[in-house]
Amino acid sequence: MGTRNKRVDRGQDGSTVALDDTRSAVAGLVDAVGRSRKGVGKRVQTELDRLVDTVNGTQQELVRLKPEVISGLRVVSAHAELDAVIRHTEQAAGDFLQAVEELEEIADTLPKKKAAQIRDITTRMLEASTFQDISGQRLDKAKQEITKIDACVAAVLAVLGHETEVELPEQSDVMSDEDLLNGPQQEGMGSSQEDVDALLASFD
Amino acid sequence: MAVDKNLRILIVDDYKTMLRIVRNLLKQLGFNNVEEATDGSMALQMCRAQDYGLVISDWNMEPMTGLQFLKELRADERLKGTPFIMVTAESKTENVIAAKQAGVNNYIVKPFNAETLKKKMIAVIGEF
Repeated sequence: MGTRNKRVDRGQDGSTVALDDTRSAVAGLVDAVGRSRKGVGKRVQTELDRLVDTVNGTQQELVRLKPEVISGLRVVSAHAELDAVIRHTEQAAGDFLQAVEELEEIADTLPKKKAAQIRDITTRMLEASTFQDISGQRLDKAKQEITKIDACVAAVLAVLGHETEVELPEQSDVMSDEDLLNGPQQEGMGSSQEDVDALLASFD
Repeated sequence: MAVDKNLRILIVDDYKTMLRIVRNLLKQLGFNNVEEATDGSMALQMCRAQDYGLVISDWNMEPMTGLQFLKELRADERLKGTPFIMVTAESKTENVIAAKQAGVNNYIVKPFNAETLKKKMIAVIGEF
């Protein structure tokens, strides 16, 4: 049917048929139906013509999105921005903790009551500092999502006939240790400490 | 009998900031004999080299996660009784279940406060 036979490496739904093949197949079918019984053939032919137009239009839309720019430039830029945020928040958290530790040392030299007051404050500062760990994990998660989007874009590029080395991950029904790496959950999702305590207690 | 404050504690996290926070919180509780590891495999090596009275570990680390580290500890005849508290942002039910089935002694969800850390430590190692 088609003279070219470029294949998508792996599609999200497992399909391995390239756009050119689809177009060729539809064109061949249109031709075969056109040569068959005129009445039914004509209606089917009209629908198949519409299908070919839709496929061509979709391809043009994809080209207009400039997927090679998304993949080559914007994703790289997004990764760099997120890395910078992680670095800078880590540095700021380090400076903050240094100040906390210095306050603790001063507290050691103060009378008991004042020392306790300072330690109460430094404890709250330490608790607040955990933001950097959580935000770092969320940013890592964002980077992973961007990488997945990049893989989808690469799949589109392959359909359009561009070379790509990016492969989409296979779906699996079996939950592995990898599947348990979800990172921090959004507000209201995930379990609170009370939920966790209750769940652990249910094992006893 | 109260726990010896010289108890050797191993804290494990790939974020240096979190290691520093936990170390400072432990210091406030009177525990100064604290060592650090930045992932499960490093922590496992350290556990095989010397005894720890308590491990406080994150989950999401590479190349070895906290869960894998816990499983390795529990599979080791000499180390299987090591008290282990998971401190992690992983808060889904299946995570807690997986950790419990792997033999975790307690589980703290990040972000946490000093009071929660103290309570969970007391539950695992006893009053101090």
